[in-house]
Amino acid sequence: MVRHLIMRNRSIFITVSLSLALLVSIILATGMGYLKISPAEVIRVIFSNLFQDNIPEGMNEVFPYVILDVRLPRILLAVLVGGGLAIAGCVFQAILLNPLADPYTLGISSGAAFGAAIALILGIFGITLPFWVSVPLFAFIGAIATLYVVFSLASNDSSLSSNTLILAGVIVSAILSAGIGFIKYLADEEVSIIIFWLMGSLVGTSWLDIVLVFILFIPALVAILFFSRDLNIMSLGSTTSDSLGIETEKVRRILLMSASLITAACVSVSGIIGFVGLIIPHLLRLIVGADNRVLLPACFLAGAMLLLFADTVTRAVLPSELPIGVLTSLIGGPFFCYIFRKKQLGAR
Amino acid sequence: MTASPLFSIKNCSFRYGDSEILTELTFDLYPGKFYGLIGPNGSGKSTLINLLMGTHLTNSGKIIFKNKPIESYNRRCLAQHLALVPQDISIGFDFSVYDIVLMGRHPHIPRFQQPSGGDLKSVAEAITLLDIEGIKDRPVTHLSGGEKQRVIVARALAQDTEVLMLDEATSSLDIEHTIQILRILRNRVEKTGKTIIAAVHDLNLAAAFCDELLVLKNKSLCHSGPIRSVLTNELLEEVFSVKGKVCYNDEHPRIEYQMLSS
Repeated sequence: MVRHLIMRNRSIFITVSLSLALLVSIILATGMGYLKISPAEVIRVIFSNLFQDNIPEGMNEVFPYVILDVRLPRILLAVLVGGGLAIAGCVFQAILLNPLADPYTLGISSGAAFGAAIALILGIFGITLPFWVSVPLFAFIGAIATLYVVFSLASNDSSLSSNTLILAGVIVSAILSAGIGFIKYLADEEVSIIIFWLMGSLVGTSWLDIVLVFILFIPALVAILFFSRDLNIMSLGSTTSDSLGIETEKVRRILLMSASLITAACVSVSGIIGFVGLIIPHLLRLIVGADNRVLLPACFLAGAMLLLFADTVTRAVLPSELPIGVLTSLIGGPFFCYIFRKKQLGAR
Repeated sequence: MTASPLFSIKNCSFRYGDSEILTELTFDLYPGKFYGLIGPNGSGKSTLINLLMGTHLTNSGKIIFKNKPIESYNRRCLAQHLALVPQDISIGFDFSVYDIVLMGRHPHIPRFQQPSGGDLKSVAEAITLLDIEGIKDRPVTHLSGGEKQRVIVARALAQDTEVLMLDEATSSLDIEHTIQILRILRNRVEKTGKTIIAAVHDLNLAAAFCDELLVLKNKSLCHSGPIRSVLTNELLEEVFSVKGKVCYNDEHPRIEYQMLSS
């Protein structure tokens, strides 16, 4: 009993401290940029907007506009996308029994990007669904279709081997990249939208993006948290989870769909941002352990912080804006090599 | 035998794609016995265990568990009655030994609830029984094969089911721990009337610990019954293609293999 209380307190402690750290990061990041705003003023603006609906007295009039309409949407989106990608990565890793799985290495991000690129090109050719419906919708279809193709390529009999899965992901990604290249060619002069978007970017985020992502996240996150204990057991393999009373096939399908939905939502608003889903679950497993009931929320918070950090660096620290996907891949790529090497050396 | 059978297997066949794995099995299993499942490699022992666990479904024929077809139970309910120590026990994530054993209680703990005092007691008992107290905080990924196998057996014992199935659960254990585990299982059968179905390779161990043997050969059940009636010189030759002598001098039959050809 005592042991359980300790474990529970520890997990509460981790979750609470990460939440606080995230909150502080959000406030600090909001203050950073071309126009410096002190944390106290940031808090005042947010509070007055939430509760009083007027501009606090004696403050630069531009501040509320900068904070509420320019910076905060982008910052919150970074938080949602970073958190979402990290959770999706964590789920993929646990279900596929594969520490190298993440939305990016499995090709799912590319699939979503391909779907989104199609939506964009259709828009250019004048086939008009509302933009904010068609991009996420196509991204989701792309993500699911890719997941399906990657799985059917990699599955032999019933077991999914880690390496074949990654290999299948790479192959499918390569094909999709070619497809995206073709779409870029078709897009001709409008190509810059697609390119910028493929490299991942949070520039020009509106509150609508936040609402959209939020709506897509909710069912997926609920499903993931609902099955988090099952996910622990499923990460030991289907024979074990079957024998411990889990409808493995059904739960696996639900969780894969949920993680893909989250990925698709992220990609549809921010483009391809790689490796967040790989690094964060890995680092956190070292700190909080493998229990997904603690790990998943912690992944969300830490992923949110990482992407917020990266985005703030490109937005406010670097002399000119760098696509954020480039930055995360530059950090994440070497990390991936490190894990891969460690696994090759039989550290499992 | 007056008790009604626990499992009733009727004309069961199982195919995997085009290849037939098991054909026309028919037998009954009774509660309170230690069954040894023996047969050469590839004779379908693991498949039979999967069928009995309800994780694979037969292509034809029926498996009746406690008077109801096994497919009519939901998974969770089956997991409250049947536990498995699988053959493949590789674990890729750093759960602690304690967490793994606690997972055995999963079918008994309602969703979103913490384990009850009873759950924790079962876990503590299993940990003591398997003598893994000293490693219970270690991550399973850092254990040796033998330690891991004991952890998995502890998990299955913590699950506290009427039936426990083992798919070559002692294959990577040294002889001391093999005997230790088989003794624990034997005790369970004798003291609590649980049923055990274990696929075993070592016939001497099977002879020492099991009540009855089920012998698989060529996709079907060729012999079954109490050790003494099944384990014979002829069986060794017929099923395992080895020459040997079954000695009945001791309490349990013992096999002397003829190792060198003459």
